[in-house]
Amino acid sequence: MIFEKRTERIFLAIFFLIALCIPLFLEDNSFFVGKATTILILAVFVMSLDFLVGRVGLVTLGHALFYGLGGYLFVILTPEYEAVNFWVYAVYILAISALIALVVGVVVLRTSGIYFIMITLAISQMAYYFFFDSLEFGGNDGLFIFMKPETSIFGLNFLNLDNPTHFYYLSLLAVLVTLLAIKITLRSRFGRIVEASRLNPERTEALGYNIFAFRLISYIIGSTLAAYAGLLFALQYGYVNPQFMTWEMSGTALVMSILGGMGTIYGAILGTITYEGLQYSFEHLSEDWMLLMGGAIILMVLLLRKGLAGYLEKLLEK
Amino acid sequence: MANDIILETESLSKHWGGIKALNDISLQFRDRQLHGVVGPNGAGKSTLLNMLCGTLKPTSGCIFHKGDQIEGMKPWKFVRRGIGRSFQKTNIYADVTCLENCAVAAQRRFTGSFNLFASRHSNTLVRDAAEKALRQVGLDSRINTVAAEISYGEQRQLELAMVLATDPCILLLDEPMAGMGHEESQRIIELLNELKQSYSIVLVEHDMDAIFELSDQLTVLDNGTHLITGTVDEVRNEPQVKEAYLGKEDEEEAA
Ligand SMILES: Nc1ncnc2c1ncn2[C@@H]1O[C@H](COP(=O)(O)OP(=O)(O)O)[C@@H](O)[C@H]1O
Ligand SMILES: [Mg+2]
Repeated sequence: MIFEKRTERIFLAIFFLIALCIPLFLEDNSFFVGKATTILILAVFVMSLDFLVGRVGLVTLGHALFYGLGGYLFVILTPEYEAVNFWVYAVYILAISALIALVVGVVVLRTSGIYFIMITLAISQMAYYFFFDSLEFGGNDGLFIFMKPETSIFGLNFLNLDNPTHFYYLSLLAVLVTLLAIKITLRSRFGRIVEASRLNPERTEALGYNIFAFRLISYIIGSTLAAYAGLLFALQYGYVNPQFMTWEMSGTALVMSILGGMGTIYGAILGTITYEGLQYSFEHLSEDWMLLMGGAIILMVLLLRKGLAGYLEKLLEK
Repeated sequence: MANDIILETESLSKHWGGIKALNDISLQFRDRQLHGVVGPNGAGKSTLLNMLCGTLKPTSGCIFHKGDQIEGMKPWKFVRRGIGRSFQKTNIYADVTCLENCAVAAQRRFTGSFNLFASRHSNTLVRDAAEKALRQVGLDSRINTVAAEISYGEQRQLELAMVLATDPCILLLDEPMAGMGHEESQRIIELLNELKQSYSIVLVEHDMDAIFELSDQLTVLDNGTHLITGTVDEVRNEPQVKEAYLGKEDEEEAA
Protein backbone atom coordinates (compact mmCIF):
# COMPACT_ATOMS: atom_id res chain seq x y z
CA MET A 1 0.00 0.00 0.00
CA ILE A 2 1.54 3.29 -1.03
CA PHE A 3 -0.83 5.24 1.20
CA GLU A 4 0.52 4.25 4.58
CA LYS A 5 -1.59 6.34 6.89
CA ARG A 6 -5.22 5.78 7.67
CA THR A 7 -5.89 9.51 7.61
CA GLU A 8 -4.39 9.74 4.19
CA ARG A 9 -6.60 6.97 2.83
CA ILE A 10 -9.74 8.42 4.38
CA PHE A 11 -9.02 11.93 3.16
CA LEU A 12 -8.19 10.82 -0.37
CA ALA A 13 -11.24 8.58 -0.60
CA ILE A 14 -13.52 11.44 0.45
CA PHE A 15 -11.69 13.94 -1.72
CA PHE A 16 -11.90 11.90 -4.91
CA LEU A 17 -15.51 10.94 -4.23
CA ILE A 18 -16.57 14.57 -3.85
CA ALA A 19 -14.31 15.74 -6.66
CA LEU A 20 -15.79 13.20 -9.06
CA CYS A 21 -19.30 14.37 -8.25
CA ILE A 22 -18.79 18.14 -8.24
CA PRO A 23 -19.54 18.71 -11.93
CA LEU A 24 -22.76 16.72 -11.57
CA PHE A 25 -24.08 19.29 -9.12
CA LEU A 26 -22.61 22.33 -10.81
CA GLU A 27 -23.29 21.30 -14.39
CA ASP A 28 -25.03 24.57 -15.18
CA ASN A 29 -22.53 26.72 -13.34
CA SER A 30 -19.42 26.84 -15.47
CA PHE A 31 -17.90 29.57 -13.28
CA PHE A 32 -17.67 27.24 -10.30
CA VAL A 33 -16.51 24.30 -12.37
CA GLY A 34 -13.78 26.57 -13.74
CA LYS A 35 -12.85 27.70 -10.24
CA ALA A 36 -12.69 24.10 -9.04
CA THR A 37 -10.52 23.23 -12.05
CA THR A 38 -8.08 25.99 -11.15
CA ILE A 39 -7.86 24.66 -7.61
CA LEU A 40 -7.05 21.17 -8.91
CA ILE A 41 -4.31 22.54 -11.16
CA LEU A 42 -2.87 24.52 -8.26
CA ALA A 43 -2.98 21.37 -6.13
CA VAL A 44 -0.74 19.65 -8.69
CA PHE A 45 1.70 22.55 -8.41
CA VAL A 46 1.61 22.58 -4.62
CA MET A 47 2.07 18.80 -4.38
CA SER A 48 5.16 19.01 -6.57
CA LEU A 49 6.54 21.72 -4.26
CA ASP A 50 5.61 19.76 -1.14
CA PHE A 51 7.54 16.80 -2.55
CA LEU A 52 10.68 18.90 -3.05
CA VAL A 53 10.53 20.94 0.15
CA GLY A 54 8.99 18.45 2.55
CA ARG A 55 10.32 15.15 1.32
CA VAL A 56 13.52 15.78 -0.61
CA GLY A 57 14.56 18.63 1.67
CA LEU A 58 15.11 21.19 -1.08
CA VAL A 59 13.61 24.46 0.12
CA THR A 60 13.07 26.25 -3.18
CA LEU A 61 11.62 29.72 -3.52
CA GLY A 62 11.73 29.58 -7.29
CA HIS A 63 9.35 26.76 -8.05
CA ALA A 64 7.06 29.01 -10.09
CA LEU A 65 9.84 29.15 -12.66
CA PHE A 66 8.74 25.75 -13.91
CA TYR A 67 5.05 26.54 -13.58
CA GLY A 68 5.65 29.50 -15.91
CA LEU A 69 7.93 27.54 -18.22
CA GLY A 70 5.27 24.87 -18.70
CA GLY A 71 2.83 27.58 -19.73
CA TYR A 72 5.22 29.51 -21.96
CA LEU A 73 6.65 26.45 -23.68
CA PHE A 74 3.18 25.24 -24.46
CA VAL A 75 1.97 28.52 -25.92
CA ILE A 76 5.20 29.23 -27.79
CA LEU A 77 5.58 25.78 -29.29
CA THR A 78 2.02 25.20 -30.48
CA PRO A 79 1.53 26.47 -34.03
CA GLU A 80 -0.98 29.30 -34.43
CA TYR A 81 -3.18 27.88 -37.19
CA GLU A 82 -3.19 24.19 -36.53
CA ALA A 83 -4.66 22.18 -33.68
CA VAL A 84 -1.94 19.93 -32.33
CA ASN A 85 -2.50 16.76 -30.35
CA PHE A 86 -2.63 17.57 -26.64
CA TRP A 87 -1.06 14.34 -25.37
CA VAL A 88 1.83 14.42 -27.83
CA TYR A 89 2.53 18.04 -27.03
CA ALA A 90 2.25 17.52 -23.29
CA VAL A 91 4.93 14.83 -23.44
CA TYR A 92 7.06 16.99 -25.72
CA ILE A 93 6.84 20.02 -23.43
CA LEU A 94 7.42 18.04 -20.27
CA ALA A 95 10.53 16.52 -21.84
CA ILE A 96 11.89 20.00 -22.57
CA SER A 97 10.97 21.15 -19.06
CA ALA A 98 12.80 18.15 -17.60
CA LEU A 99 15.87 19.06 -19.63
CA ILE A 100 15.76 22.65 -18.38
CA ALA A 101 15.30 21.34 -14.82
CA LEU A 102 18.39 19.22 -15.31
CA VAL A 103 20.47 22.25 -16.29
CA VAL A 104 19.05 24.52 -13.58
CA GLY A 105 19.36 21.69 -11.05
CA VAL A 106 23.04 21.15 -11.78
CA VAL A 107 23.61 24.83 -10.99
CA VAL A 108 21.38 25.33 -7.94
CA LEU A 109 22.16 21.99 -6.26
CA ARG A 110 25.77 23.03 -5.84
CA THR A 111 24.50 25.15 -2.98
CA SER A 112 22.52 24.26 0.10
CA GLY A 113 20.60 25.87 2.92
CA ILE A 114 20.01 29.60 2.68
CA TYR A 115 22.10 29.83 -0.51
CA PHE A 116 19.84 27.32 -2.20
CA ILE A 117 16.81 29.43 -1.28
CA MET A 118 18.49 32.55 -2.65
CA ILE A 119 19.72 31.06 -5.89
CA THR A 120 16.41 29.39 -6.77
CA LEU A 121 14.69 32.71 -6.12
CA ALA A 122 17.24 34.59 -8.21
CA ILE A 123 16.98 32.28 -11.20
CA SER A 124 13.21 32.39 -11.24
CA GLN A 125 13.27 36.21 -10.97
CA MET A 126 15.68 36.32 -13.90
CA ALA A 127 13.26 34.28 -15.96
CA TYR A 128 10.40 36.53 -14.83
CA TYR A 129 12.17 39.68 -16.03
CA PHE A 130 13.26 37.98 -19.21
CA PHE A 131 9.65 37.31 -20.19
CA PHE A 132 8.49 40.64 -18.77
CA ASP A 133 10.92 42.55 -21.01
CA SER A 134 10.71 40.38 -24.11
CA LEU A 135 8.79 41.81 -27.07
CA GLU A 136 8.45 38.57 -28.98
CA PHE A 137 6.92 36.79 -25.97
CA GLY A 138 4.43 39.55 -25.34
CA GLY A 139 6.11 41.26 -22.39
CA ASN A 140 3.81 41.91 -19.47
CA ASP A 141 0.70 40.93 -21.47
CA GLY A 142 2.06 37.52 -22.28
CA LEU A 143 0.89 35.31 -25.11
CA PHE A 144 -2.45 33.90 -26.18
CA ILE A 145 -3.32 30.48 -27.48
CA PHE A 146 -4.93 30.72 -30.92
CA MET A 147 -5.88 27.14 -31.49
CA LYS A 148 -6.74 24.84 -28.62
CA PRO A 149 -5.23 21.40 -29.15
CA GLU A 150 -7.32 18.34 -29.93
CA THR A 151 -7.20 15.40 -27.57
CA SER A 152 -7.79 12.23 -29.54
CA ILE A 153 -6.00 9.04 -28.58
CA PHE A 154 -5.69 6.51 -31.42
CA GLY A 155 -8.45 8.31 -33.27
CA LEU A 156 -10.83 8.18 -30.33
CA ASN A 157 -11.96 11.56 -29.11
CA PHE A 158 -13.88 11.63 -25.89
CA LEU A 159 -12.51 14.87 -24.48
CA ASN A 160 -13.40 18.40 -25.51
CA LEU A 161 -11.12 21.00 -23.96
CA ASP A 162 -13.66 23.77 -24.55
CA ASN A 163 -16.08 21.98 -22.31
CA PRO A 164 -15.42 23.10 -18.69
CA THR A 165 -16.54 19.77 -17.28
CA HIS A 166 -14.21 17.84 -19.55
CA PHE A 167 -11.34 20.12 -18.63
CA TYR A 168 -12.21 19.65 -14.98
CA TYR A 169 -11.86 15.88 -15.25
CA LEU A 170 -8.61 16.26 -17.14
CA SER A 171 -7.29 18.28 -14.18
CA LEU A 172 -8.60 15.78 -11.67
CA LEU A 173 -6.71 13.10 -13.58
CA ALA A 174 -3.59 15.25 -13.29
CA VAL A 175 -4.05 15.38 -9.51
CA LEU A 176 -4.34 11.59 -9.37
CA VAL A 177 -1.33 10.99 -11.63
CA THR A 178 0.80 13.47 -9.69
CA LEU A 179 -0.20 11.97 -6.37
CA LEU A 180 0.60 8.45 -7.54
CA ALA A 181 3.86 9.48 -9.19
CA ILE A 182 5.09 11.15 -6.01
CA LYS A 183 3.92 8.40 -3.68
CA ILE A 184 5.40 5.60 -5.80
CA THR A 185 8.68 7.48 -6.05
CA LEU A 186 8.80 8.00 -2.29
CA ARG A 187 8.13 4.35 -1.53
CA SER A 188 10.71 3.13 -4.04
CA ARG A 189 14.32 2.14 -3.49
CA PHE A 190 15.20 5.52 -4.92
CA GLY A 191 12.82 7.14 -2.42
CA ARG A 192 14.55 5.36 0.46
CA ILE A 193 17.83 7.10 -0.36
CA VAL A 194 16.09 10.42 -1.00
CA GLU A 195 14.52 10.19 2.43
CA ALA A 196 17.85 9.22 3.98
CA SER A 197 19.54 12.18 2.30
CA ARG A 198 17.01 14.55 3.83
CA LEU A 199 17.20 13.03 7.30
CA ASN A 200 20.99 12.84 7.42
CA PRO A 201 22.99 13.78 4.31
CA GLU A 202 26.38 13.23 5.95
CA ARG A 203 25.55 9.68 6.95
CA THR A 204 23.99 8.89 3.60
CA GLU A 205 27.15 9.93 1.82
CA ALA A 206 29.19 7.88 4.30
CA LEU A 207 27.07 4.88 3.33
CA GLY A 208 28.14 5.17 -0.30
CA TYR A 209 25.45 7.25 -1.99
CA ASN A 210 26.07 10.19 -4.25
CA ILE A 211 23.37 12.39 -2.81
CA PHE A 212 23.81 15.02 -5.52
CA ALA A 213 22.49 12.55 -8.09
CA PHE A 214 19.48 11.65 -5.95
CA ARG A 215 18.63 15.30 -5.37
CA LEU A 216 19.05 16.16 -9.03
CA ILE A 217 16.67 13.44 -10.19
CA SER A 218 14.16 14.48 -7.53
CA TYR A 219 14.48 18.10 -8.61
CA ILE A 220 13.75 17.11 -12.20
CA ILE A 221 10.67 15.14 -11.13
CA GLY A 222 9.28 17.96 -8.99
CA SER A 223 9.98 20.61 -11.61
CA THR A 224 8.43 18.61 -14.44
CA LEU A 225 5.25 18.11 -12.44
CA ALA A 226 5.14 21.87 -11.81
CA ALA A 227 5.53 22.46 -15.56
CA TYR A 228 2.57 20.18 -16.17
CA ALA A 229 0.46 22.28 -13.81
CA GLY A 230 1.54 25.46 -15.62
CA LEU A 231 0.71 23.94 -18.96
CA LEU A 232 -2.80 23.04 -17.80
CA PHE A 233 -3.34 26.49 -16.32
CA ALA A 234 -2.31 28.18 -19.57
CA LEU A 235 -4.62 25.88 -21.46
CA GLN A 236 -7.54 26.55 -19.14
CA TYR A 237 -7.36 30.31 -19.50
CA GLY A 238 -5.93 30.38 -23.00
CA TYR A 239 -2.93 32.56 -22.19
CA VAL A 240 0.33 32.76 -20.32
CA ASN A 241 2.05 35.82 -18.84
CA PRO A 242 4.94 36.62 -16.50
CA GLN A 243 2.57 36.49 -13.51
CA PHE A 244 2.90 32.71 -13.75
CA MET A 245 6.44 32.88 -12.47
CA THR A 246 6.42 35.59 -9.82
CA TRP A 247 7.97 34.90 -6.46
CA GLU A 248 4.50 35.48 -4.98
CA MET A 249 3.39 32.41 -6.90
CA SER A 250 6.19 30.33 -5.34
CA GLY A 251 5.53 31.84 -1.93
CA THR A 252 1.79 31.25 -2.01
CA ALA A 253 2.34 27.61 -2.95
CA LEU A 254 4.74 27.29 -0.03
CA VAL A 255 2.11 28.71 2.32
CA MET A 256 -0.47 26.27 0.95
CA SER A 257 1.86 23.35 1.54
CA ILE A 258 2.71 24.46 5.08
CA LEU A 259 -0.97 25.05 5.82
CA GLY A 260 -1.81 21.57 4.56
CA GLY A 261 1.03 19.87 6.43
CA MET A 262 4.50 20.00 4.97
CA GLY A 263 5.74 16.78 3.44
CA THR A 264 2.47 14.88 3.66
CA ILE A 265 1.67 15.28 -0.08
CA TYR A 266 -2.07 14.74 0.42
CA GLY A 267 -1.91 17.72 2.76
CA ALA A 268 -0.95 19.83 -0.25
CA ILE A 269 -4.38 19.14 -1.75
CA LEU A 270 -6.00 20.02 1.56
CA GLY A 271 -3.91 23.17 1.91
CA THR A 272 -4.70 24.37 -1.59
CA ILE A 273 -8.43 23.88 -1.17
CA THR A 274 -8.43 25.57 2.24
CA TYR A 275 -6.35 28.52 1.08
CA GLU A 276 -8.47 29.11 -2.00
CA GLY A 277 -11.63 28.63 0.03
CA LEU A 278 -10.48 31.17 2.59
CA GLN A 279 -9.50 33.63 -0.10
CA TYR A 280 -12.88 33.28 -1.80
CA SER A 281 -14.72 33.84 1.49
CA PHE A 282 -12.60 36.77 2.61
CA GLU A 283 -12.76 38.51 -0.75
CA HIS A 284 -16.50 38.87 -0.32
CA LEU A 285 -16.27 39.80 3.33
CA SER A 286 -14.40 43.05 3.40
CA GLU A 287 -12.17 45.47 1.56
CA ASP A 288 -9.23 44.60 3.76
CA TRP A 289 -9.53 40.93 3.02
CA MET A 290 -5.82 40.41 2.42
CA LEU A 291 -5.00 41.54 5.93
CA LEU A 292 -7.71 39.37 7.47
CA MET A 293 -6.73 36.40 5.41
CA GLY A 294 -3.05 36.81 6.30
CA GLY A 295 -4.02 36.88 9.96
CA ALA A 296 -6.19 33.79 9.61
CA ILE A 297 -3.40 31.85 7.87
CA ILE A 298 -0.79 32.84 10.44
CA LEU A 299 -3.14 31.80 13.22
CA MET A 300 -3.86 28.44 11.63
CA VAL A 301 -0.20 27.69 10.97
CA LEU A 302 0.69 28.60 14.54
CA LEU A 303 -2.12 26.60 16.11
CA LEU A 304 -1.72 23.56 13.89
CA ARG A 305 1.95 22.86 14.19
CA LYS A 306 1.93 20.17 11.54
CA GLY A 307 -0.70 21.73 9.37
CA LEU A 308 -4.22 20.52 8.64
CA ALA A 309 -3.01 17.02 7.80
CA GLY A 310 -1.15 16.85 11.10
CA TYR A 311 -4.33 17.85 12.91
CA LEU A 312 -6.39 15.22 11.10
CA GLU A 313 -3.79 12.61 11.89
CA LYS A 314 -3.95 13.50 15.56
CA LEU A 315 -7.68 12.86 15.43
CA LEU A 316 -7.66 9.74 13.30
CA GLU A 317 -4.46 7.80 13.98
CA LYS A 318 -4.56 5.67 17.05
CA MET B 1 49.08 -14.35 8.40
CA ALA B 2 48.29 -11.97 5.58
CA ASN B 3 50.70 -9.11 5.60
CA ASP B 4 49.67 -7.06 2.57
CA ILE B 5 49.23 -3.36 3.04
CA ILE B 6 45.63 -2.49 2.20
CA LEU B 7 45.54 1.15 3.29
CA GLU B 8 48.44 3.53 3.65
CA THR B 9 48.99 7.18 4.52
CA GLU B 10 52.00 9.17 3.46
CA SER B 11 52.93 12.36 5.34
CA LEU B 12 49.28 13.02 6.01
CA SER B 13 48.53 16.40 7.62
CA LYS B 14 45.45 18.37 8.55
CA HIS B 15 45.67 21.96 9.71
CA TRP B 16 42.88 24.29 10.73
CA GLY B 17 44.31 27.74 10.64
CA GLY B 18 47.05 27.53 13.22
CA ILE B 19 45.86 24.26 14.76
CA LYS B 20 47.87 21.30 13.56
CA ALA B 21 45.31 18.57 14.22
CA LEU B 22 47.54 16.04 12.48
CA ASN B 23 51.08 16.45 11.32
CA ASP B 24 53.05 14.28 8.91
CA ILE B 25 51.45 10.93 9.66
CA SER B 26 52.70 7.91 7.71
CA LEU B 27 50.95 4.68 8.62
CA GLN B 28 50.38 1.31 7.05
CA PHE B 29 47.25 -0.72 7.68
CA ARG B 30 47.46 -4.41 6.88
CA ASP B 31 44.91 -6.79 5.50
CA ARG B 32 42.87 -8.61 8.13
CA GLN B 33 44.50 -7.00 11.08
CA LEU B 34 43.03 -4.89 13.80
CA HIS B 35 44.96 -1.68 14.03
CA GLY B 36 44.32 0.21 17.24
CA VAL B 37 44.75 3.97 17.48
CA VAL B 38 45.02 5.60 20.89
CA GLY B 39 45.93 9.00 22.23
CA PRO B 40 44.57 11.64 24.58
CA ASN B 41 41.60 13.82 23.69
CA GLY B 42 42.43 16.13 20.83
CA ALA B 43 45.28 13.91 19.64
CA GLY B 44 43.80 13.82 16.14
CA LYS B 45 42.32 10.32 16.10
CA SER B 46 38.94 11.33 14.70
CA THR B 47 40.65 13.63 12.24
CA LEU B 48 42.68 10.68 10.99
CA LEU B 49 39.60 8.51 10.53
CA ASN B 50 37.72 11.33 8.84
CA MET B 51 40.47 11.57 6.26
CA LEU B 52 40.72 7.81 5.81
CA CYS B 53 37.04 7.67 4.91
CA GLY B 54 37.07 10.71 2.67
CA THR B 55 34.85 13.09 4.66
CA LEU B 56 37.83 15.39 5.35
CA LYS B 57 40.30 16.50 2.73
CA PRO B 58 43.89 16.43 3.98
CA THR B 59 45.84 19.70 3.98
CA SER B 60 48.74 17.73 2.53
CA GLY B 61 49.89 14.16 2.10
CA CYS B 62 48.44 11.12 0.40
CA ILE B 63 46.22 8.14 1.09
CA PHE B 64 46.61 4.91 -0.87
CA HIS B 65 44.08 2.12 -1.05
CA LYS B 66 45.46 -1.04 -2.65
CA GLY B 67 48.01 1.13 -4.38
CA ASP B 68 45.53 3.74 -5.74
CA GLN B 69 45.80 7.31 -4.59
CA ILE B 70 42.37 8.20 -3.21
CA GLU B 71 42.59 11.24 -0.96
CA GLY B 72 40.80 13.66 -3.30
CA MET B 73 37.78 11.44 -3.94
CA LYS B 74 34.23 11.95 -2.66
CA PRO B 75 33.24 10.07 0.49
CA TRP B 76 30.77 7.85 -1.34
CA LYS B 77 33.55 6.63 -3.60
CA PHE B 78 35.50 5.51 -0.56
CA VAL B 79 32.53 3.38 0.47
CA ARG B 80 32.40 1.81 -2.97
CA ARG B 81 36.00 0.78 -2.49
CA GLY B 82 34.94 -1.05 0.64
CA ILE B 83 35.98 1.51 3.22
CA GLY B 84 33.22 1.90 5.81
CA ARG B 85 33.23 4.03 8.92
CA SER B 86 31.29 4.57 12.11
CA PHE B 87 31.05 7.93 13.79
CA GLN B 88 32.21 8.94 17.24
CA LYS B 89 29.15 11.11 17.64
CA THR B 90 26.17 8.87 16.92
CA ASN B 91 25.05 9.58 13.39
CA ILE B 92 21.93 7.63 12.55
CA TYR B 93 18.49 8.22 11.02
CA ALA B 94 16.66 8.95 14.25
CA ASP B 95 13.15 9.12 12.75
CA VAL B 96 13.00 5.67 11.19
CA THR B 97 13.25 2.11 12.50
CA CYS B 98 16.52 0.34 13.24
CA LEU B 99 15.77 -1.99 10.36
CA GLU B 100 15.32 0.92 7.95
CA ASN B 101 18.58 2.47 9.19
CA CYS B 102 20.43 -0.68 8.21
CA ALA B 103 18.41 -1.18 5.05
CA VAL B 104 19.67 2.17 3.73
CA ALA B 105 23.17 0.92 4.45
CA ALA B 106 22.62 -2.46 2.81
CA GLN B 107 20.56 -1.49 -0.22
CA ARG B 108 23.49 -0.43 -2.40
CA ARG B 109 24.97 -3.92 -2.26
CA PHE B 110 22.02 -5.73 -3.74
CA THR B 111 20.02 -3.52 -6.01
CA GLY B 112 20.03 -0.33 -8.02
CA SER B 113 19.07 2.65 -5.95
CA PHE B 114 17.87 4.60 -8.97
CA ASN B 115 14.82 2.38 -9.33
CA LEU B 116 11.87 4.74 -8.96
CA PHE B 117 9.18 2.09 -9.18
CA ALA B 118 10.07 -1.03 -7.19
CA SER B 119 9.03 -0.79 -3.58
CA ARG B 120 11.85 -0.37 -1.11
CA HIS B 121 10.41 -3.29 0.84
CA SER B 122 10.39 -5.73 -2.06
CA ASN B 123 14.02 -6.82 -1.95
CA THR B 124 14.41 -9.59 0.63
CA LEU B 125 18.20 -9.63 0.32
CA VAL B 126 18.34 -6.06 1.62
CA ARG B 127 16.08 -6.94 4.51
CA ASP B 128 18.04 -10.07 5.39
CA ALA B 129 21.35 -8.22 5.36
CA ALA B 130 19.92 -5.45 7.52
CA GLU B 131 18.54 -7.95 10.03
CA LYS B 132 21.81 -9.85 10.06
CA ALA B 133 23.76 -6.69 10.91
CA LEU B 134 21.34 -5.90 13.74
CA ARG B 135 21.71 -9.42 15.10
CA GLN B 136 25.49 -9.20 14.93
CA VAL B 137 25.53 -6.22 17.29
CA GLY B 138 22.82 -7.66 19.50
CA LEU B 139 19.86 -5.52 18.51
CA ASP B 140 17.57 -8.42 17.54
CA SER B 141 14.80 -7.19 19.78
CA ARG B 142 14.89 -3.65 18.39
CA ILE B 143 14.44 -4.36 14.70
CA ASN B 144 11.16 -2.49 14.37
CA THR B 145 11.78 0.18 16.98
CA VAL B 146 12.30 3.77 15.87
CA ALA B 147 15.96 4.65 16.35
CA ALA B 148 15.22 7.74 18.44
CA GLU B 149 13.47 5.57 21.01
CA ILE B 150 16.29 3.16 21.84
CA SER B 151 18.86 3.87 24.57
CA TYR B 152 22.10 5.69 23.93
CA GLY B 153 24.11 2.51 24.23
CA GLU B 154 21.82 0.80 21.75
CA GLN B 155 22.22 3.69 19.34
CA ARG B 156 25.96 3.07 19.52
CA GLN B 157 25.27 -0.55 18.59
CA LEU B 158 23.09 0.59 15.71
CA GLU B 159 25.85 2.92 14.57
CA LEU B 160 28.10 -0.12 14.24
CA ALA B 161 25.41 -2.27 12.65
CA MET B 162 25.01 0.30 9.88
CA VAL B 163 28.67 0.05 8.90
CA LEU B 164 28.51 -3.72 8.98
CA ALA B 165 25.46 -3.65 6.73
CA THR B 166 27.49 -1.94 4.01
CA ASP B 167 29.74 -5.03 4.10
CA PRO B 168 33.04 -3.17 3.85
CA CYS B 169 36.53 -4.70 3.60
CA ILE B 170 37.97 -2.04 5.86
CA LEU B 171 36.17 -0.91 8.98
CA LEU B 172 37.06 2.45 10.46
CA LEU B 173 35.56 2.59 13.94
CA ASP B 174 35.61 5.74 16.03
CA GLU B 175 35.13 4.82 19.68
CA PRO B 176 32.39 2.28 19.00
CA MET B 177 32.13 1.27 22.64
CA ALA B 178 31.94 4.75 24.17
CA GLY B 179 28.65 5.07 26.02
CA MET B 180 27.85 1.36 26.03
CA GLY B 181 27.24 -0.61 29.19
CA HIS B 182 29.71 -3.30 30.29
CA GLU B 183 27.69 -6.17 28.85
CA GLU B 184 27.20 -4.44 25.52
CA SER B 185 30.90 -3.61 25.33
CA GLN B 186 31.81 -7.23 25.98
CA ARG B 187 29.57 -8.26 23.18
CA ILE B 188 31.16 -5.79 20.78
CA ILE B 189 34.68 -6.89 21.83
CA GLU B 190 33.69 -10.45 21.06
CA LEU B 191 32.25 -9.35 17.75
CA LEU B 192 35.38 -7.42 16.79
CA ASN B 193 37.52 -10.44 17.68
CA GLU B 194 35.42 -12.43 15.27
CA LEU B 195 35.34 -9.75 12.56
CA LYS B 196 39.07 -9.27 12.44
CA GLN B 197 39.42 -12.73 10.91
CA SER B 198 37.81 -11.42 7.75
CA TYR B 199 38.00 -7.60 7.87
CA SER B 200 40.73 -5.03 8.25
CA ILE B 201 39.80 -2.82 11.16
CA VAL B 202 41.08 0.53 12.33
CA LEU B 203 39.83 0.99 15.86
CA VAL B 204 39.95 4.19 17.88
CA GLU B 205 39.00 3.42 21.45
CA HIS B 206 39.44 4.82 24.94
CA ASP B 207 38.95 1.50 26.69
CA MET B 208 42.60 0.45 27.08
CA ASP B 209 41.83 -3.11 28.15
CA ALA B 210 39.79 -3.61 25.01
CA ILE B 211 42.42 -2.05 22.77
CA PHE B 212 45.24 -4.14 24.29
CA GLU B 213 43.18 -7.28 23.93
CA LEU B 214 42.13 -6.67 20.33
CA SER B 215 45.00 -4.91 18.56
CA ASP B 216 47.46 -6.62 16.26
CA GLN B 217 49.14 -3.28 15.69
CA LEU B 218 48.82 -0.22 17.87
CA THR B 219 49.51 3.41 17.02
CA VAL B 220 49.85 6.14 19.60
CA LEU B 221 49.09 9.72 18.58
CA ASP B 222 49.72 12.73 20.74
CA ASN B 223 48.88 16.29 19.91
CA GLY B 224 48.76 15.58 16.19
CA THR B 225 52.04 13.72 16.02
CA HIS B 226 52.79 10.05 15.58
CA LEU B 227 54.59 8.70 18.66
CA ILE B 228 54.94 5.02 17.86
CA THR B 229 53.42 2.09 16.04
CA GLY B 230 54.08 -1.52 17.03
CA THR B 231 52.62 -4.57 18.68
CA VAL B 232 50.82 -4.10 21.94
CA ASP B 233 53.86 -5.26 23.92
CA GLU B 234 56.24 -2.99 22.05
CA VAL B 235 54.03 -0.01 22.68
CA ARG B 236 53.41 -0.78 26.34
CA ASN B 237 57.09 -1.01 27.04
CA GLU B 238 58.01 2.21 25.32
CA PRO B 239 58.95 4.70 28.07
CA GLN B 240 58.07 7.73 25.96
CA VAL B 241 54.52 6.44 25.58
CA LYS B 242 54.08 5.68 29.24
CA GLU B 243 55.05 9.22 30.00
CA ALA B 244 53.11 10.97 27.24
CA TYR B 245 49.89 9.09 27.33
CA LEU B 246 49.45 5.98 29.38
CA GLY B 247 50.78 7.72 32.44
CA LYS B 248 48.36 10.59 32.08
CA GLU B 249 45.48 8.21 31.59
CA ASP B 250 46.36 6.42 34.82
CA GLU B 251 46.38 9.70 36.67
CA GLU B 252 43.04 10.63 35.19
CA GLU B 253 41.57 7.33 36.25
CA ALA B 254 43.01 7.68 39.71
CA ALA B 255 41.61 11.18 40.05
N1 LIG C 1 36.30 21.19 12.41
C1 LIG C 1 37.36 21.57 13.16
N2 LIG C 1 37.78 22.85 13.14
C2 LIG C 1 38.84 23.24 13.87
N3 LIG C 1 39.55 22.42 14.67
C3 LIG C 1 39.18 21.14 14.76
C4 LIG C 1 38.07 20.64 14.00
N4 LIG C 1 37.93 19.33 14.28
C5 LIG C 1 38.90 19.01 15.14
N5 LIG C 1 39.65 20.09 15.42
C6 LIG C 1 40.83 20.11 16.32
O1 LIG C 1 41.74 19.15 15.88
C7 LIG C 1 42.33 18.51 16.99
C8 LIG C 1 42.14 17.01 16.89
O2 LIG C 1 40.79 16.69 17.09
P1 LIG C 1 40.20 15.20 16.98
O3 LIG C 1 40.71 14.56 15.76
O4 LIG C 1 38.73 15.27 17.15
O5 LIG C 1 40.86 14.52 18.28
P2 LIG C 1 40.52 13.13 18.97
O6 LIG C 1 39.51 12.41 18.15
O7 LIG C 1 41.83 12.44 19.04
O8 LIG C 1 40.01 13.44 20.34
C9 LIG C 1 41.72 19.10 18.22
O9 LIG C 1 42.61 20.08 18.74
C10 LIG C 1 40.45 19.74 17.75
O10 LIG C 1 40.13 20.86 18.50
MG1 LIG D 1 37.64 11.73 18.54
